[in-house]
Amino acid sequence: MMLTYIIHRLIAIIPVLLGLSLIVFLVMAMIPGDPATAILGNFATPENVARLNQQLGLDKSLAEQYVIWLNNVIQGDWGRSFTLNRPVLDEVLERFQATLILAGAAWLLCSVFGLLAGIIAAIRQFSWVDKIITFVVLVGISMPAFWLGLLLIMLFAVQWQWFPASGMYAIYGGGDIGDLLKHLLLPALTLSIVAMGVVARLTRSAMLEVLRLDYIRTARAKGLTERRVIFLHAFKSSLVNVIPVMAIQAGFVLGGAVYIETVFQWPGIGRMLVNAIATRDILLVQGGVLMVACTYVLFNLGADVAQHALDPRLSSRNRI
Amino acid sequence: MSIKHGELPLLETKQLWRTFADKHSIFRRQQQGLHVLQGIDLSINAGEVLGIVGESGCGKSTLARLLVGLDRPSQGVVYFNGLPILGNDSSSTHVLGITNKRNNIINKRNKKLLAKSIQYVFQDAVSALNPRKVVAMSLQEPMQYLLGMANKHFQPRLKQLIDQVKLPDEILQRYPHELSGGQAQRVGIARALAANPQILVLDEPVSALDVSVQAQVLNVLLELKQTHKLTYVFISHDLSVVERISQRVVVMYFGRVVEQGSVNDVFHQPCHPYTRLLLASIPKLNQSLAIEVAENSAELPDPFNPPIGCAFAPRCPRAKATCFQEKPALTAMPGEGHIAACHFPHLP
Amino acid sequence: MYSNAVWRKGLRKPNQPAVRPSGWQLFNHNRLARLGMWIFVCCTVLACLAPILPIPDPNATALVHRLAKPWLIQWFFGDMVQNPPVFEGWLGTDHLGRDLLSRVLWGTQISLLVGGSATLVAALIGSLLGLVAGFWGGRIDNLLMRGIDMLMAFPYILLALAIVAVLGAGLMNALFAIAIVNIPFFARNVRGVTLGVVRQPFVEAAQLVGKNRWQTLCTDVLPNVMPTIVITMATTLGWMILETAGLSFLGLGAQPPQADLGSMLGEGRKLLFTAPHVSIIPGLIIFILVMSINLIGDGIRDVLDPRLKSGVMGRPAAATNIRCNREADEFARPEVQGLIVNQLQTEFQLGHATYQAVNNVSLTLEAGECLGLVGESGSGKSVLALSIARLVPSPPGCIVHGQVWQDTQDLLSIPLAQLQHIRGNKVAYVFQDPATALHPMLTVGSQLVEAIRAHRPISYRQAWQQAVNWLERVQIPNPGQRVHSYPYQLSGGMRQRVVIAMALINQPKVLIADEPTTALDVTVQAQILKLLKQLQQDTKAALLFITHDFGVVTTLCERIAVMYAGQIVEMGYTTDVLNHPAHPYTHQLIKCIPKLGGEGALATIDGLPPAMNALPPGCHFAPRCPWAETRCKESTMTLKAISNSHWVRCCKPL
Repeated sequence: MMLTYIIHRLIAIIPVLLGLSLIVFLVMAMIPGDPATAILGNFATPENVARLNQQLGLDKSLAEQYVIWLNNVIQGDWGRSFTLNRPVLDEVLERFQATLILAGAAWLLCSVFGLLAGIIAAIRQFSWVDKIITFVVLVGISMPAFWLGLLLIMLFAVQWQWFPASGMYAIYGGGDIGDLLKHLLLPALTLSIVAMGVVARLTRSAMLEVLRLDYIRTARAKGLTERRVIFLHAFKSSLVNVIPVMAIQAGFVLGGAVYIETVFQWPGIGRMLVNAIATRDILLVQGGVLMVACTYVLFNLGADVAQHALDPRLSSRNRI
Repeated sequence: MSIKHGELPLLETKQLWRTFADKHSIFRRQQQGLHVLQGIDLSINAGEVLGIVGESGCGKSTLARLLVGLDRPSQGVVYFNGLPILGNDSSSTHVLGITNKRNNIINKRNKKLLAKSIQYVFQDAVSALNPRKVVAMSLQEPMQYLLGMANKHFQPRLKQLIDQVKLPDEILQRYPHELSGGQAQRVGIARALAANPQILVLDEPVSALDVSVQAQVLNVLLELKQTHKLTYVFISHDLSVVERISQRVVVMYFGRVVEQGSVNDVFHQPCHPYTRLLLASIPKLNQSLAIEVAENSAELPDPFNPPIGCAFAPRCPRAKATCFQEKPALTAMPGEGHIAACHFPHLP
Repeated sequence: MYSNAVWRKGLRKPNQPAVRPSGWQLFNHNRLARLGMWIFVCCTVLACLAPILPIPDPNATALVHRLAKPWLIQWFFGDMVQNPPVFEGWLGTDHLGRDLLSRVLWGTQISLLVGGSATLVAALIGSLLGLVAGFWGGRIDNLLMRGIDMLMAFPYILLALAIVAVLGAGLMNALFAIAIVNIPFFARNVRGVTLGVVRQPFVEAAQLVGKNRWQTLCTDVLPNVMPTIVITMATTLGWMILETAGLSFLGLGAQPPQADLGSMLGEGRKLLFTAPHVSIIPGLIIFILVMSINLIGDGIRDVLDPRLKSGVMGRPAAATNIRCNREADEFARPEVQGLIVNQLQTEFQLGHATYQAVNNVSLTLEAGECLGLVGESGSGKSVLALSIARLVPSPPGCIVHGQVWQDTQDLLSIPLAQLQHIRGNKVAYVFQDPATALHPMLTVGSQLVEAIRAHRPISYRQAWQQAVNWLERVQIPNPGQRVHSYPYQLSGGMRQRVVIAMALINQPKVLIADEPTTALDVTVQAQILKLLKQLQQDTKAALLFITHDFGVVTTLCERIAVMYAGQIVEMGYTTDVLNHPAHPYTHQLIKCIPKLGGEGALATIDGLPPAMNALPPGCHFAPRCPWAETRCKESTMTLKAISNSHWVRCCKPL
């Protein structure tokens, strides 16, 4: 049952990935300005420009270009970045690794602490714990993440010098896990703070809603302990509603990495994208966006599967 | 079938089918559709109350929605005053309706005509009223959109309507969530009456109400029927209510009519075993501690896997081999217009 | 959560139009939202007044005075001797010596304008798409939603970046990018709500009063979707401002010399270590602005959200609160096999109104006996049932008086751990709606096992075997297989059998069945009643059977108690009460029931039951009673015996 569902979903994301690649391709094709001129510089002769255009296949129709491009992408030829003068795929993969570490850590933080805070706020509704959590959440989602990053750098890196201010590894020495974690903590925390607020908020309201339902009353009438009622019965049902939001937050931390990587000089894909946009390195932008978007699609797939695994009703609804 | 000779029934259905097609996707084999109604023939005479009883899942609500045009039949035709008003009918000529592409008679013009002649009373009265409109607004909509009345005529008519259902005038300025269940249902009846229809289709109008309130609403309905010469199609799962209000009864099971006849015949000489089971299952006052239902835990057949024979056979104490293989047809039973679909009916 | 108090003041009493607090009143009552409103108004007004305030030109550079610290900070922290404070503007200057206060005000103006416009654009287009998709459904819906899904497949900040990459950096382009990436969000939200509204019967009713699709959309659907659009706008505005600031921060939004708060922050970042105030101040302003908007958004959501309106959004505690006057309880400890309820009183506290749901109810349930509790909706019968094991949701419920004795223990005064030992073990429940009483994501078997293992220290395997046995006892065909199924895979009748098995699995002394057959069809009801009766006789449990249906009670119970307005008005043997009802209410109620073979118009009871927060003095039924006299409306009624087994709360029983 579950396996067939996963297979169906895997087949179903093929059109999504195709559409996604089409959007990426079209967006980049729409960019004004001539890539050939950008590569050759403003003083290129028209003949050279025309030759390069032909080389790049830009004289063909848009549809043809897309097919050729897609074929290349699938075969691993993502083009060559003219600013870095190296294959886009290599650069993207290298940078993406760093982003994955950052975004992954942030996502873990936001999920674990968001869920916990939400549950605690719900079961202690109206108490001071609830009020504090609600307030912190409000502050968190109102805070510009990049500004928070600056504040943290000023306090923890400049003032107290507990953590390094930027980069992924120390320049001299370092390179081990401990060093990475030290560098990771501040940016991951900054990146997760907004997402954490959103998850906590939603968990709280989902828990409150579920706790009022009839089957919770049944569970209590059975004589179950309150811990079991809350952490098994109520939490299980709430989680189904929270999972989609956690998936959205994954998208948020992947995208939000753009700011945080800039602030903390993290060598990830976000910073690469900002630079690429500034230098109009279109192939690099294309590659970066495609990579992140594909990851996000896969992540959403995972969330869907998790939701279906939790709630058997969802699969049955599909059937009828 | 039960029509008196020479008299045209006010509302008639012929071989009404409603099938909910299964959504087919690339990955799955196309399943058989869900047959909610399987060839319903009914006729309702002017001025009578036709009760339709059956348990959940028997298709009675779908039938009601078809009659008022909220849903379209997959097959079959509904005739009003002998004229086809909705349905799929490729053979006959349509006097009223103009057939559209999909062979459905219903179109914009006779949709309004239909709404002027047949109105519907919802089961869930409160949610059938727009929560953001006061009662007066809801009540004047039929006058505005169906009858095209001028604004100045609204007020007296509103008063008249609200009086007819025995509600005080100040109700007009209330919002639906400020009404009790009984009040809301009476507002629903008033709205249905606002268009001056000839037929009211009432879908479980009192099942959500307490007995004392239920009695109030039923009495209002009975009185309105007298004063307005209305015809009711009264759908309910409560047999004692149906007995009280109807002249003729239709018993439905699994999308089919299993028994039909006058209240007297059906309630006092039920021929179909299902009707008998229904009657025996009603808890009766003054009959303490006697439960005489023999069968256990049998259920409705799987709608995706309908049985070949009689749908009731698995639960029927009288079932024989024939019952599982052949669908019984509606045949005449003793009593005027009394018919039942059973191979081995209980005969007096 | 803050607005409930005011709303409850306007709680309706039947027959009186409610005092409806306006949306503004509700909003204004919310202190935090009001605070947000004030901050927001101040910021907006100041930003709007920027052109006419006596402040320097935001773009006037003065390199001599560059990086001056804010005046107050100089004044506080500067040493007076070497660096005497120089007034260089309230907030100091930036790296080009431009006045920061002036720049912040102008920047706020730009940020607000861009964020607001982006919100409007996104709301307009997104809501339109959502409405169309939700209302028309079918192919249009499919097509639109596929497109939306595609857009949502991108992390949206990335999409905004891509759009800016195409359009080029600039404030207007940033605005479009932010608006476009938020369109899917609005569209999805609005579509979801529209779908919910369209499924409501009143939309079908609109079709029946002769409205066409457009009229229905405009007059019925849109007004009911509007609150969602407003809530979404209010809650996204802050977000949009943050996003615009983010793009500007990266240098992709506002281009110099034009500056919004984000780009100021971006410029100041490079000077973080030398002149932190240049980046901190604009960031702080963004934070305050967004926070105030979020506060307002939450306030608006609380006012408009129908779920918050419809009742208390509280979490029911593990057991109902008790607020008993313990000294008054002088009740001899009886030895009871069954259950004794003594002078029980349960209230609901909603705002300033107190609803007396159960008012001084006493009853005795002998072991093996079956007592029927009959009453109309709102009579307090369910609350009474739930009060016994302290399952009344609390808040708002509260038990204010009485005892419930079961086997030498007063359930209302023992600690929670002991109570949990009794629940499901000695006192078990069967609830009304089997569709909602079982946990939808756990198998039937695991829920049964859980019930056993909460009270008996046996292995999972043994418990599982018992669960299968019990499914067989409640006559579920194929129990070995059914035990693995989820509740949604069973029919209503089957689910109720599971619930009954779960209640009886620990052989309780007392079984409380709260309208267990109301949600079922008659033929299924008959089966369930038969099963209940049989099992009750087998297990010798005392059964408290709650229903509104006299017919059901007579088939099952030897004795019945009739409830009205939170009190037992009549109690006695079923045959006595049915054949010779002594209380006018019972008498009238029995006459209202349509019986098979009955004739003529049905009897009715005039008027409505009293509001539980405004009970009439004297006999609660007096205002509706055709036999009422003045003394009925004055003196309090007590439950008096008219024979040794028949009790009535009436001063002139029939």
